[in-house]
Amino acid sequence: MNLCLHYSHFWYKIMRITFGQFLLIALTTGITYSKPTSAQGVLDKKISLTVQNKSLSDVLSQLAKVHKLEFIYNQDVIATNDKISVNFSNENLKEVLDKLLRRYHIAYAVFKGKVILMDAQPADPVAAKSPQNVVITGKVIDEKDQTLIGVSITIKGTTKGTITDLNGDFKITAGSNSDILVFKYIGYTTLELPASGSVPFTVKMVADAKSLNEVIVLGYGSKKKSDLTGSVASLSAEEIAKTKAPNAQEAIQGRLPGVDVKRSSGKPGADMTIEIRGVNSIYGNTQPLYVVDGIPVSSINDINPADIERMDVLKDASSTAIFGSRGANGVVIVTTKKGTRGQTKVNYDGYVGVVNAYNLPRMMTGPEFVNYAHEFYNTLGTNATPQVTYTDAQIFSPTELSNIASGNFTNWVDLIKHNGLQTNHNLSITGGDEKTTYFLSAGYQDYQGAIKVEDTKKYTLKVGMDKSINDWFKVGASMYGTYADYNLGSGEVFRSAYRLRTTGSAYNADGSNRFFVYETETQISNPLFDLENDLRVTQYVRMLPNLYAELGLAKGLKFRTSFTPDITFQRAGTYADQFTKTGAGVKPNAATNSTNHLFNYTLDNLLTYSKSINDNHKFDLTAGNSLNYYQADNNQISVSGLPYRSLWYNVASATAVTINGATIQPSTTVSSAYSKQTISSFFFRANYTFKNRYLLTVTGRADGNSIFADGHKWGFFPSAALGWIATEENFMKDISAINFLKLRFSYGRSGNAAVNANYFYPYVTQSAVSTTFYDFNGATANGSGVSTLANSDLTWEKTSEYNAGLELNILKNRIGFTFDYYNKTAKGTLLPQQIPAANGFTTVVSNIGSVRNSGVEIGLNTTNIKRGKFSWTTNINYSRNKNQIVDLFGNGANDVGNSRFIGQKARVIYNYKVIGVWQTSEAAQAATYGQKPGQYKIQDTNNDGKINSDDRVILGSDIPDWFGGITNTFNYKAIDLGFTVYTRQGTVQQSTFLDQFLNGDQGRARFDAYSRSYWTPANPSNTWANNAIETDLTRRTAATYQNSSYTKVSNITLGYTLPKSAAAKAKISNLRIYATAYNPFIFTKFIGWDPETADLNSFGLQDFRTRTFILGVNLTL
Amino acid sequence: MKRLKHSLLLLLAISQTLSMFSCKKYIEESNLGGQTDATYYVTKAGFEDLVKSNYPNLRYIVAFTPLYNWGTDLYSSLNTTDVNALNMYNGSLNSAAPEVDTYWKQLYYSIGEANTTLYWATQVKEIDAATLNIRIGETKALRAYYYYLLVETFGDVPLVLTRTTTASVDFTRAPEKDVYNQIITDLNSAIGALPATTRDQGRVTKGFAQHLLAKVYLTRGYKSYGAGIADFTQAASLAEGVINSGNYSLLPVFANLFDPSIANFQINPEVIFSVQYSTNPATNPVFYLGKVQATAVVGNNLHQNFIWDTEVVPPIGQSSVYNKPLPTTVASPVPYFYTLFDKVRDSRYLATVYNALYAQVAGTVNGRTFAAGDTVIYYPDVAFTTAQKAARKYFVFNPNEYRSSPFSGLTRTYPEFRKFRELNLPFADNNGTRDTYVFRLAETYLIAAEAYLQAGNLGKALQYYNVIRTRAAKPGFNPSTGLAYSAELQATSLTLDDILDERARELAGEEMRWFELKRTGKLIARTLAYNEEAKASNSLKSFHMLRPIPQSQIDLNRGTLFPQNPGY
Repeated sequence: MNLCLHYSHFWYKIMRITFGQFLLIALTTGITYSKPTSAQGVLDKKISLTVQNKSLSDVLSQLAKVHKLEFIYNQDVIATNDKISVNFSNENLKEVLDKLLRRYHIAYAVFKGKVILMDAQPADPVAAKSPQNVVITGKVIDEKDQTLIGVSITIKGTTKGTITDLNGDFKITAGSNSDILVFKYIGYTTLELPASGSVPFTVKMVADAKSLNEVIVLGYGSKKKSDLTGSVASLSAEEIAKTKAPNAQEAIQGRLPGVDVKRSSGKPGADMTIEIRGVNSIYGNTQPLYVVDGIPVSSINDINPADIERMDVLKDASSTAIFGSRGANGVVIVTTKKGTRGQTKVNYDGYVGVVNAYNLPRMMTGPEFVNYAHEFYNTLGTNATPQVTYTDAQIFSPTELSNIASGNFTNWVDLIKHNGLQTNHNLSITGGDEKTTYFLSAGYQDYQGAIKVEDTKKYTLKVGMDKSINDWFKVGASMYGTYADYNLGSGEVFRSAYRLRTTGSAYNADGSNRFFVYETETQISNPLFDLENDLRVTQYVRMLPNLYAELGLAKGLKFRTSFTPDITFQRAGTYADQFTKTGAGVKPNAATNSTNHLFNYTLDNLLTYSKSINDNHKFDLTAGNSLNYYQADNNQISVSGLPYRSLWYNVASATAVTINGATIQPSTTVSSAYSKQTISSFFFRANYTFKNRYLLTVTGRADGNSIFADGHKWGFFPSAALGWIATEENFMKDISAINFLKLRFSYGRSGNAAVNANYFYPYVTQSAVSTTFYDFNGATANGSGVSTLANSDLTWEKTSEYNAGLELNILKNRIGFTFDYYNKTAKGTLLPQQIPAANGFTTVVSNIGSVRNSGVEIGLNTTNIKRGKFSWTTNINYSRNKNQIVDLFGNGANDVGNSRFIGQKARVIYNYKVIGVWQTSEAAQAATYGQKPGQYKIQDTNNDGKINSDDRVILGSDIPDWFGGITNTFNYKAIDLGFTVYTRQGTVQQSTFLDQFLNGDQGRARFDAYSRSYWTPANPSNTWANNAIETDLTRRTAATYQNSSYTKVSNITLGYTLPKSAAAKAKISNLRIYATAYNPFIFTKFIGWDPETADLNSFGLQDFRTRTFILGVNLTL
Repeated sequence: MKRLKHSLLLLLAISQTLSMFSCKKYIEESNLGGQTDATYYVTKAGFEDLVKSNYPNLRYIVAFTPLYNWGTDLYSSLNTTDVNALNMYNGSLNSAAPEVDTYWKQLYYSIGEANTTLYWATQVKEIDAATLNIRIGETKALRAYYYYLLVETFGDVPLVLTRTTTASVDFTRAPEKDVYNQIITDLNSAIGALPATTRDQGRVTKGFAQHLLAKVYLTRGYKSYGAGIADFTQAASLAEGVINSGNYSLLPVFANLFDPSIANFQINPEVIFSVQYSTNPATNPVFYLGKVQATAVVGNNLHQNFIWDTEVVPPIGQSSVYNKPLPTTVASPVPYFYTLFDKVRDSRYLATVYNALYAQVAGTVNGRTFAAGDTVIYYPDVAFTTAQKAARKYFVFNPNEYRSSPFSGLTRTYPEFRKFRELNLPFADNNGTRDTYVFRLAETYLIAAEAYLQAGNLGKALQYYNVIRTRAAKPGFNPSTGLAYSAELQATSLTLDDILDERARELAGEEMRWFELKRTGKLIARTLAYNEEAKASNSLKSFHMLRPIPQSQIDLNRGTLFPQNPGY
């Protein structure tokens, strides 16, 4: 690291910025509040203590002795016979006392440095007099039959109670059989059971579906869910793991309100895209910021879902403003698993699955196709000007005619399809003692696709260690490493399989593969060749190391510094043999060999300060700065003329080769590129809680970004939020039906600087020159031109958002309900705006326009049935978003050329609307439009009797109106069953399938083999025109827009957990076997392969829609 | 003590780390991989590079075969069931037609680059005045060429003469007359600055500007706002100036202009200007709007544009002798084209097309088997009888059979062009290495002939016309008459149609046929007479003399209304 020490300059600079002043205040207040005699001082004292099986009184004496504390109490107050075991490590005294005393209803107070213990509940005279004659023993376990230690058990209406020991066992003496035992445990639903049960008995406690005590990870810190003022949606490790999704983003699809997850590719293991609370930029990046363990990263696709502890999605501006210029699209925070204190835990999860293609469009069979081809050519010839007659020999090649005669047809799709295999192994070891914790996890994922050859392998390794050097200094380091090996296979195979006529031959007479499958097909070659000869392989190592140190500076004041690089070394190769679609049988073997290096780092410095004043006021203050550095460079060598099949490993061997009599010179092109971006940021956050019920959060961040020109580099992003926990009010405490009610409101501003999907795009404000290629009579005459119009006024998109939310838990927390309304408006959205070509440029990136998203998000968690050994819980989420362009140019004008309209969604399809097919009886009317029966009838929107560009209408958008998911979980004894249904509604997209196989490829290829009822004089369809008559591409394109809404069952899982006793015999602590059907069903009207990749090009990344059937085992030692 | 230690540690940690961002430098933009205009174009090398960057734009512009040839008297599209808008002049020829959109954009992109160049010409340092003047002349001549293509295609167009630094959305259409005046101004300025020759074959020279200006005056002469006879006279004198300059001469043998087996055949005294292509793939890419498109096109594709797909005949197959057509742009000569040639006397027929195709490998097609080297297809000059055909081992196609094919139902089988053949290329898309002739002296002669004809000087017109006829004639004597072929080809009378016919023979595939027909006012009459598809479609109207303004320009021009051409 290069240090440049200009202190005076630094201080000068920081003083100019408001929160720089805040930093100073935080520093000085830290010193002011660290007087040792205050009550807070005593309660903040760090306690480490381990005691086994002792009485409370013994524990207290031990505590007093080790930590030099004074306790004052009456023996009656702590009169209990319970034997307890405790293990505290570096926790402050307040937490220790809470844990120790609260369950005995013992209150405490600090007076002049001494801790006074008091009985918090009046003695029950009835209970005191009753004979103590019923002794109950038992065991408390959780849903997974793991023993629960430290569960508090009290007899209702009395002060009597105990806790479970290290084995989860308890013993309590009740007054009578009619007494009620109350079981309480943090994070679990409180249970009440009669003392009359058989002896001994086992009590199973169920975790709160969404516990209020859950700790949510935020930017630069974390917070108890009940104390949040912003809008955050979360998913826990268990829920992520259960989905068996191949990557983390897919695991949250359908699970979180407001989070729209889509596929970006059909290939196995491919990345997903996420849009949170709608499309917040008309053209710019709409992807959220991904933060892994506190560090912004470009993607989370390389994080093995098995290594994720939790995912928290920050949605409103109050939560995201701490990320400043990058928070406007929401923030996805991934927390990976860490070591925990206690005995070493070894966990193995492994599964195998079969990947299966489904939802395939129905193509014509051989005989159907032959009939169709006859009809097509006949109609085509009749309608031609002048007319033409086609003979069979003109329609079909000799090979086809012979195949038709023998009934020998080829199903090309079947030839490239197979059932892929999916394998996944994850092994983790965690453990640690009081001062040190460690984590080790290794994963292996292998996803084969449904097309032969495609295969993605990922190897992940996480190691981490945290060490407390002493009570004020802690260090830690971790490393997340991924090695990925993508074998995407050929980009042509899929398209070719759908393009080729079923009447062709895949094989020669001798059984070898036939390159061109019939005589007149000279462009699209047999995909069997591409499977072997057209290769795309990408391999990379990605490393996310982290190093941090944490200093306790004073009571409540901590300083943390962390350095995290994000490094990727990628190597990619492509190879196209002469015998591929690309090589066309005549081009020399060609290859590219490229490398990409990404070096990014984040350096964070953080000061945090926590302070409570007499339990009424609680402060949490955070301030810091962050440096972000992004550098990418790459180089590529492309050659053709490889003399032998060396793939991309011998690019220097390119030489002149002779093919079909032509001597072809070799070619080599080399390129390299570099880009760098740096961001410097300052931020702060203040949380204030009054009386545990009034919550206030204020945040701010300033970002300076290298990509903008001087004068536009810095931006400031503030926010504020208020919360009110109504159930903490006295007047609410008696309403037993309502367990929790919180109202919150937030307002804030955040930004977006990304004009492409990755992160930022440097140099957009500069007029860069680029090389042009030319020669003067063979002598190189390359020049250098300006191909983009630079805009030095560019700056961030700025989004203002307000959010109103409600959280409600009723009926003993069995129903949890959250509701959010938000309204966010992005101004100055970044647009590579199309401009009239007369400018000499066709686009310029500028800050114009404004887009608004407003909507509601509802989350509902219910425990529907909980009776004995059966339980049924449901999670429902629903999100409705209204996306609209508010303004474009400041003058209310629409941007027709870019299909952008005020009041409409940010991305719309603006085109002609097909309203049917002209019928024979309408010939005269059709003629007035210059059309004839069998052609598409286009809506004459302005009724002027002609169809022209004024008749275009908005057909729809790929932005959904609403989406939602339902997850149901059933448990009966050792069996669990769960399924998730996801729906996404209100989208219209162009079907690539229809575009290519309804519109394109006439004559040469399979042109129209999609099996459907199309118009003929005898079959007056009003849906599909006759392609032999409807030759106009514009109208045919209009027929390819489809409703791409869908509903899918994304997951069904059935599991069996080995009963505890059997597990104990086998000396394991947990064993679960499960079967999962991943994405097993989809319900949609969409015509094409997959509504999730509706408009993806059929070349390159398109694929079958697949489902996976999985069998797995999870074992914990 | 301990607390003091903490505080010291804190101070150290903070100061060390925070000091990094104290450097303003941290967020300065740095681009190790590139340069910017302001730093590069002011240098001599940078400015020279900028001038050179104007030339690659031409590769895309001269390759608009459909726009130049479809829907004319000579060329139709490849498919037997023709639906092509540019050929049929049907409803699909509208503002959304992709050809007009890309053509408009590429021309204005090129104009923008020229304007940028002219701006930096005022800023560049360390360059000698003489060189600078020549570079300015080159740029202005190119800008004039782009405007000529624009105004002829679209009529009134925005006249943009300065570089764009801030995008405008408020363009207005300048009258054709003004555009012509600007073209003439630019070309006169270029003629004054440009040298007669250049060491860099492919650079614009004085001949380019003179030839173009002759054509510009010739074209304007027909227009209502033109100067009529004065324009024609001016055109004639400019053309004559080029002819008599001593810098150019006709090659004695027409075929040698197009014979790639002759070394350096493209560097000859007849060529005034050609767009350069190379055998080096690294300098051969074709960029659109200054950028590589999704599928990078490398090299010329002219050889793919006047042929049919002989690959579907197995004995011919994927040979390197016959090239692969580009189905989306192929212009197929209509039967009338073949009737234009005096096949007995005119050497240009067999220099332009193949009248026979040969087997490259042994193979069978439609039941007939061929050995390598055998004739597979023959196109007789005079139709064969059924008996004559039956006696042949090979396939015979009479002139009335060029519009269909027994090999592939959808395409035609006609004597395909050999004029632009690329030898030693893989049988595949593009990759052509031959230069595209833009202006050559033979056209200058025909411009002179046309200009004199229109100016009323038939004698001079015939004089220049017959020079071309003389060179075109086969060598030797006609055995039946005893006269030299060249003498028999001499014309004694001349009409505009004769000149258009001669252009068809001499400049097939080189001239922009649609422009020539439009200029002479013959587009509608000749196209409907000889192009069977356009005739059957019967929708070619006088408004088609202008192409539709692209919808993108109309939609994006949000200031004042950008009017569409009438009829669309």
